[in-house]
Amino acid sequence: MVDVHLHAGPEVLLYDGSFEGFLTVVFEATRDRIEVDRIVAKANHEARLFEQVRWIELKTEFAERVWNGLVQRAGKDVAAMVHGAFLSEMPGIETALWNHLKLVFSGANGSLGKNVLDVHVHTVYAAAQKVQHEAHRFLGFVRFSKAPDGSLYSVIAPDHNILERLGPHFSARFPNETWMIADSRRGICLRHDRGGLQILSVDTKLLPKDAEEVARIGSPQDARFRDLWKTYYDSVNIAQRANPRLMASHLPRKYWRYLPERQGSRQILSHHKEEPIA
Amino acid sequence: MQNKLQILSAAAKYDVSCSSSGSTRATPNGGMGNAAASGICHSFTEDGRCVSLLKILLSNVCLFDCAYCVNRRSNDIPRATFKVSEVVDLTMEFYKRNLIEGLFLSSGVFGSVDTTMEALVRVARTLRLEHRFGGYIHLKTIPGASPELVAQAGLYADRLSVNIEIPSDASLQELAPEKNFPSVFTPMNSIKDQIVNHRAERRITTKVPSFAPAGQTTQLIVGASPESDLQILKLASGLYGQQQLKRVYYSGYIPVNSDNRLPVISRPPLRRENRLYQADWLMRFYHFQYDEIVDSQYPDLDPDLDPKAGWALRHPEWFPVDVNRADYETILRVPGIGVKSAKLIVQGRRFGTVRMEHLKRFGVALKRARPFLYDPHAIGSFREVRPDLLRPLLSSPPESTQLSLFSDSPLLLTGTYG
Repeated sequence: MVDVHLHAGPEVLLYDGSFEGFLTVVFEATRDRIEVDRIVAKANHEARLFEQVRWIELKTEFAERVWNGLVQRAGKDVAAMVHGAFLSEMPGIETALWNHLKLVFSGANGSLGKNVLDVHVHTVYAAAQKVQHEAHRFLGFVRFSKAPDGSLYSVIAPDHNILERLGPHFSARFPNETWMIADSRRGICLRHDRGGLQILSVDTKLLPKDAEEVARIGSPQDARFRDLWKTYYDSVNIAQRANPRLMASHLPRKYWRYLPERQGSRQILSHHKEEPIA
Repeated sequence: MQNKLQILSAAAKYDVSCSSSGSTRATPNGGMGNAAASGICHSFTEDGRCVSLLKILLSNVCLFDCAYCVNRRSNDIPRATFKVSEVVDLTMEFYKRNLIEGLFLSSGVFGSVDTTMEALVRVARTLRLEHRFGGYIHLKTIPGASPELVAQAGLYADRLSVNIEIPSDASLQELAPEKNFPSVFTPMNSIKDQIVNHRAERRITTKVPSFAPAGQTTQLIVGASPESDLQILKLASGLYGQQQLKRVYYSGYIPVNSDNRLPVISRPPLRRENRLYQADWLMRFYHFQYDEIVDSQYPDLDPDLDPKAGWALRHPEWFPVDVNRADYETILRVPGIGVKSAKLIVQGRRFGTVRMEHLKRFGVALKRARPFLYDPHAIGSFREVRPDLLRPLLSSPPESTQLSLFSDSPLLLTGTYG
C-alpha cells in the first residue's frame, strides 16, 4: 500500500472586498502560517483548476490589531500608503500588499516597508500615489448641483475608490451645507449634513449617467449659474494657444462625463477619435 | 450678466497667474470655504491652462494706454463694469458648486487709481466680512495705489500681485507711458515689508491678523520687447531673492493690438515661454542660480534643448554621476531625473544598490539620463560624457512640428503646483 499524501501547496484566500476584511486575512494568514498564493476579493475571484481556496470572514478585532500594529511599527505614513494602495482596486494589489506587509513585520523594525527597491514595496507605493493623485484631482472635478431644497448633489466615476478620501476636504469647506457625492461606478454615496458624514450604498441604476441628468435635479436658478460657468469656461480660453492634447492630459476624457463645461459639441473639438465612455 | 461675464473674463485671461496655493485658511465660523495649501485645479481650458479661480476684471474701462494691453484707452471695444454685489454673488455661487477655489480680481483703471483700488478692496471685504467667505482671494494691486489701500487689501486677500509686464524699465516706459519701474516696485516692496512684519509679529501673538499669507507674484510678458532671457531670468532671480515673490509668471506675447512699437509675429513665442518656465523651475526646485542657466556668452535659452540638458552639456566635468554615491543635489542635476525620482533614489539606496531597472520603475527618463550616469554593472558604461554626441539625442524637434505636443513637459502653465 502506498500512502497517498497530498501536498497542501499555496492557497488562494478570499475575503469580502473591504479593507477590514483584507486586514483580517493578513491576520489569519500570519497566525496560521498559511502559504499564500494570492489574496482576492470574492467578487473578483476567477477560479483556476487545482487551486486551493479558503474563505476568510471579516473579524473587526483582528483587523484592528493588524492596523494598530502597522501604525506602531511602520508609522502613520506607511499605514496611510497601505490603505491608499488598497483603495486603488488594482488587480493583484492585495497580494502586493501582503508581500509588503510581510516585509514591514519582519526585521528589527518596520523600516523594510520603505525599501522602494523591492518590487512589491514599489507597487504599493505607486498604487498609493495614483490614488492620492486621483483624489486630489477630484477635489477640483466634483461639480455640485443645487437642488430646490438647497442641498448640493454631485456624481463622479473615478478609477479608484477615492470617495472616502474626499470626505474631510468637503466637510471642512462646506460645514453648514447638506451635500452628497455619489460614485456611480461603485454604487456608494458620501453624505454630509450638520449631523456628520456617512457613506451609504445606492443603486447604480438610479444614479444620473451624465452631467445633463445631474442638471435635471437642479433648480432653475441652478441652471442659470451652470450657463454662466460655461460662458466663463469658454471665454477664458486663449484661441492662439490652442492645445487640446495638453488639456486632455490634465483633464482626461474619462472624467468629462459629469463636467457641464465639457458637454455636447465640446467633446468633438479636440482632434481625438471618439471613444466610448466606459 | 452673461454678456458682462463674457467681456470681463475674456479681458482678464491674458494674466496667466491662476494659482490658488500657498494659503491655509480655516473655514470661518458659520461661513463657507477654506484655502488648500497645495492649490486645486477645477478645470482645464482648450489651451491646456488650469482654471482654479474666477479670474475677472471689475471693469475693463481704463485710463491707461499700454501698447500691449487689449483694454487700453485707445481701443474701440465693448466696455463693461461689474457692481460689487455682482462679483460677490458670482463668487459665492460658483464656489458653492465647487467650480472654483476663489476669486482673482483685477481691473482696468477707472475714475482714478485709488477709486479702482478701493473698489477691489470693497469686493474682498464684503466677501470676507458679510459672507464669511474663507476661500482664496487674489487681488491685483494697481500701480500707484495709496499705501493705506494696499495695506487693507493684504488683510482680506490671500495673495497680492503687481504686474511688471515689461522686463526692463526703458521698454516699459516706451510701451506703457503711464508706468515705470518705480511705480511697480514701490508697492511691491511695501507689500513685501508688510508681509515680513506681520509674519514676525504673528510669531509673538496670533492676535495680529495675517497679511497676504500666500505672498505676492508678478507677470512678465516675453517677446513684446527686446530683453534677452539672461535679463529676464536675472530680474526673476532678484524678485525671488529681494522681493521674496512666490511666483514669477511668464506670458508669451500675444498680439492683441497693432502698434508700431510692438514686434510683428505670426504666433506667440510659446516654446520660449516654456523654456523660461523650465529655467524658473530649475531656480526654485533644483537649486540652480540664474547665471548657471544663461550667461553673457549664452544670453538666450536654446529653444531646442531644455535648460537642464543645456547646462549638462556645457558642464561635462560633472558627469557621469553614480546615483549610489552622489549627494541628492548632484543627482537632481542629471537630465531626466526629477525631484520625485531623486528622492526615491536617495530613499532606496539605504537598502541596497540602485540599478537601472529601479530607475526605470522610479520614473526616470532613462533615454535622457543614461548617458550621464555611471553604472559599474553595465558593460561599456561611459566614464566620460561627450556633449557633441549627446546633443542630438537630447534635442526636441523644431517647433513647427511640436506646437501641440507640449504635453511631454512637466513644466506647464498650470501654476497650481507651485
